[in-house]
Amino acid sequence: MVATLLSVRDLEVSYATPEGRLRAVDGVSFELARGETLALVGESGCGKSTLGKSILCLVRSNSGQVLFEDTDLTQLSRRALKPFRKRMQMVFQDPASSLNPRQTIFKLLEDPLIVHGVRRREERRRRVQVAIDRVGLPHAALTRFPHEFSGGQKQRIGIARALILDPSLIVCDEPVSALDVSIQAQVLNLLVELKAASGLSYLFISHDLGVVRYIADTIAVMYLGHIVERGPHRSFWGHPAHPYTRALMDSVPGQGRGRVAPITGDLPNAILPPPGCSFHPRCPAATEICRMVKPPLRVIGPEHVVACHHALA
Amino acid sequence: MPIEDHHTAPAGPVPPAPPHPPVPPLLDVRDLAIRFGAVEAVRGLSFSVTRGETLALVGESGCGKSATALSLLRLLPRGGEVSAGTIRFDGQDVHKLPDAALRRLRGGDISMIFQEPMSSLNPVLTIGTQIVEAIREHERLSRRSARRKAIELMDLVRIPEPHRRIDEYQHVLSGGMRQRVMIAIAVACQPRLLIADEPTTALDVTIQAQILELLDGLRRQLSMSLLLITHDLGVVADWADRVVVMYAGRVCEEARTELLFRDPRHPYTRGLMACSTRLGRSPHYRDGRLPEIAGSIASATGVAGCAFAARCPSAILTCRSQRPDARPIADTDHVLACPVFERATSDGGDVAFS
Repeated sequence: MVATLLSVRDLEVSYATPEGRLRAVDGVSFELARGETLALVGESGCGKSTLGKSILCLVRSNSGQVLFEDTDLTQLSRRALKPFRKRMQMVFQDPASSLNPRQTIFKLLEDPLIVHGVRRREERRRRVQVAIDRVGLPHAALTRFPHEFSGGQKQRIGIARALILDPSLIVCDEPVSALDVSIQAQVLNLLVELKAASGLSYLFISHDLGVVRYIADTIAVMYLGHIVERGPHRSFWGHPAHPYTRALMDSVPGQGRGRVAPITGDLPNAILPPPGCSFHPRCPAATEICRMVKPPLRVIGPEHVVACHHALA
Repeated sequence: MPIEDHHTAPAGPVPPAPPHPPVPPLLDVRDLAIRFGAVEAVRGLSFSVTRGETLALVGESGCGKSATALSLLRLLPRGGEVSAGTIRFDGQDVHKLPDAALRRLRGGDISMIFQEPMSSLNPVLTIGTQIVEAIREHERLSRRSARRKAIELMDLVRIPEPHRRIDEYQHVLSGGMRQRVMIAIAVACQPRLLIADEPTTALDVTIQAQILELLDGLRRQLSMSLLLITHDLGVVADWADRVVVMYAGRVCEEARTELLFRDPRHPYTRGLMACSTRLGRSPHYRDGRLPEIAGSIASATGVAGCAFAARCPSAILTCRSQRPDARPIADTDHVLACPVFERATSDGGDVAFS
């Protein structure tokens, strides 16, 4: 039995828009164990980034629970939240815009330590050096500024900053999407090494199924604010059950298949989602029940759940 | 509905050369060099696009693929210039064309679409106005008939309800729909060459597949050639007839798509293929590390030898001093700029990427 680090229950996040309420995250539940990597996969607007931010309480949820080691973060005040902040960090997609261009790398890495009350300067210096070592950059980097580094190196700095407080959980929001292919592999290998060395858990948000296939222990597919399928690596890739999951997989280029796009149409308007199963207007297998009844998540295998009326167990 | 596939070149031995001299290519680029001040973005680049084919220019950021695309229409930004070489379109030297002829060429015989449809469309004009503008730039049509043609074009690129959509602004459209509008504008005047610079990079994967399918359909329907600029080897494998792989402003390797994926020779091509995470063959992290290409992408400016030598696991001493020329392997159409792997076979001399 692995210890659960994070447990999300019926989380709901909505935004007020001029056209009405947009439910970005609509009743999402999952658990993340220590040392596990859970990937949240989906297309733009599916709610995956909002979900990541609401877990870190950067966006406040409307209802539901985010249990971090049994403490419900959604109920905490800002002050009470602070000790949990350092245990949960984030790595962003665009390293260039997430690093202050006017700070040296040393200052960038030292700041979180000051915020979280590491008073002794020597201690801060030591921890900055450890962090920069762990991401494979030379100490000479510490006196330089972000613009002096390539995209891949900037992302290493972003990762070092996330590591500096020794977190238990890192939310990685599209951490390699802005990087070139040959650099992506370096950063993915680094994330894997760091996890093995310190038992981190990752919530890995990505639209890139190739990347997710490499890095994730468990994969959750989101569509219009819902998780439509979730399963462990082997079962998920071996037996994808939701038509949307299969369409995503078939859309990935480079599989040499026929030249027909697997699904047509765009994501529907999230403010007025379709009734029943929200995927039914694009689904090649939709029937009457799909237009009427919202499918619940059903268990179809060990740890493998799917929200589809027609998925076979 | 079965779709006839004119795409893939027949596998197997190359047919004997035709008795007549071959038709000159539609686009022929020879020894192109592009400079931005002291920085040499492209050097010694040669390639050609024949009628009706899809040629992919592949490489990572900074390899010069986008600068090359812009130079084809003399659209390089201020500070950038073609410092050597020729670009011939249908026999004419593009860089010697008078301004009037150049305007006819742009959007007429050669069109271009970009990565960001959002920033290519004017936010304060309806999409109809912008399509009509493109049509009337090249054809003497009344507003009314141009509008009718715009609706036909929107239908051609499969925008649903074109009669209604034509009066909408870009911000109400999704990314995929915007890119369809850009494609409608690009094909408005039946171009013979469509340059697509990362046309799907900003789009979601299900939409990406739709747009690529559309582009390939239009290529056949309108008898265009397609110059596809991309960093994505998966896109190349599925849609290109031939591939030119670029690194630091130079050609590493050029081959028919099927051959390139079956028998990649250049260590950079092999490295890219090895480290691309792909669905079919991608390992899981518990099974081992991803192969990676060490180091970062460097500029070729001031490098004496092969620009890739510093990252290449197979580099020999001369790689750092002598710049390899891209040349055909034993009179085939497989072009390679690597003396080390010219003679190696596909199974011999494997490149080890740590």
